Amino acid sequence: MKPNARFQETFDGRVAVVTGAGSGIGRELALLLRDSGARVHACDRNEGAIRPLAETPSAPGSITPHVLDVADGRAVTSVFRRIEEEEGRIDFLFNNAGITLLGESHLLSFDLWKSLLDINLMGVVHGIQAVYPSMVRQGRGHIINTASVAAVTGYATSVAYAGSKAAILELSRSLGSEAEGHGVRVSAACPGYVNSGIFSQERIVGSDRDHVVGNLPVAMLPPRTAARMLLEGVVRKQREIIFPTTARMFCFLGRWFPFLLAPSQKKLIRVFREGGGIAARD
Amino acid sequence: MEKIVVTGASSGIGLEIATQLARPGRKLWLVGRNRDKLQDLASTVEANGAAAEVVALDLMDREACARFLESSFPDGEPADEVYLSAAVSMFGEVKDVLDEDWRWIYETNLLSPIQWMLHFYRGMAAAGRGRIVLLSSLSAYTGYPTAVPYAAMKAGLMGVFRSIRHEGELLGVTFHLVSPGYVDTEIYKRAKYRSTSYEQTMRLIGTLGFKVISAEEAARRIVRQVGRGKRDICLPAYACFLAWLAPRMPFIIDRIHRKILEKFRRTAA
Repeated sequence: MKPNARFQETFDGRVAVVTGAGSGIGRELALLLRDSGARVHACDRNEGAIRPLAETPSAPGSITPHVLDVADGRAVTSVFRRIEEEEGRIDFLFNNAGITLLGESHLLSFDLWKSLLDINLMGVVHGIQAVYPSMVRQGRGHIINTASVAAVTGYATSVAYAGSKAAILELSRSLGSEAEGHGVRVSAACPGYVNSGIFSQERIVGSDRDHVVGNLPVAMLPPRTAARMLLEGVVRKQREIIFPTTARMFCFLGRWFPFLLAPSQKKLIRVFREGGGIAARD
Repeated sequence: MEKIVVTGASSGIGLEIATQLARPGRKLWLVGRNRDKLQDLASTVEANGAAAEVVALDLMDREACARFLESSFPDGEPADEVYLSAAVSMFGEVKDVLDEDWRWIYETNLLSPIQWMLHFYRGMAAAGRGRIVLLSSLSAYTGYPTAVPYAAMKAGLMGVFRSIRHEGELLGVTFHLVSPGYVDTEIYKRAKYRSTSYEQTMRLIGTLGFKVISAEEAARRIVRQVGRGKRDICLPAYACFLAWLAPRMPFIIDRIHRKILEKFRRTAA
């Protein structure tokens, strides 16, 4: 697929680091960036998922895979430092790695909560700690953190996830204000539902995955479309990149008239419990 | 006997909440790090007619906390009300913040309240009743450049509240979020400062023009509004206004961000 000219203008010859590049939005980001001429460093804890990304010598850009668990701060520092040494600089950091966890909160162990927060929230923090100070020193660079619409609206049955994304969103906003004075940009991406593989049965405790995913309030975006919309927001230098249109509507309601979303929150719980009945029967 | 748990009870808002909640027919568990201060508080609580138990714990020691929670509040013996007000703070630009600083704020201000919330919520859900009050901050709504780790973790708590309140409602458990503005507590004296200092920070806050209220006043408003069933509590008035404004007109908040950064960088230079 031919990337558009605006992508090339922004990303050609640039160095981009993408975490969570083994699947979903991260994988499509890596591919689109490579096709736009960027030197992409694709990071994921799943080696099998990222090795194949490196195999396209005829592409305008390149993808170098790195096995990396973003929950491991020291590993993030060491890998990102190595990338910076080799490339001389990092122009874009897509702090994108994230997992979900669906379940009724009182039935989920603290360890499950923590494992999600360590990846979704501290993973983003580790990326920032590894890259932001040198971006500040150079007076350039752009960090894009993947938050979620759920950061604004909340998400009953996925409380840890919504909490982690709310933290990322506010972190991005406040850091963005600090970064402005140093010539660095910080953006938050807030995707709606994306058919990314994030909803696997093992991340859904106490309900049937197919029932939950089959009864979402809105249709899922293909990950490639999501990645394209995300990059469009980066090109346009938006601080908040919210997509698709239904997600922008939910964010608007969540900010202006949050009480209007209460019925949809209850519906999420209802659907989840129905799925629980199905799961129990199987 | 109404069972009430208050964390962060050694000082500040936690101490004042415990003091004001103390009355006959209640037992208060006073959780904090400073045993001496907790003993003093226990005397005050008992003088007001309530039973008191001192729980000297470091919230970062999650294993010790788990042992306390499981032994004092096992399955079938839930608490009635829980006030999670323990927190720490720090100031400095992110470029100067250390990895260990982020971890400290993450563990104390987000992981710990989640650990405690989950334990009590489980017991309350089984009983079909109960109240959990999460102490957050106005900065979760507005952000706070020069206090980014603090604002981020409080925003995390707010995201949790926004979501879990709906689950709790179906199970008979009420969640409350308290978002105060500036309150005169020891959080500032005990905060970490990177490329700035306590004195510089207090001076800067003084020039912003936002009223700093006492911990006692904050606790009074919290106890009153929780008692009235208000879920989303902000105080004082300017904080309620900014909490309303921030999600709807963020560009106005951005202007406040710039003002704070301008002043911060001028004094840090």
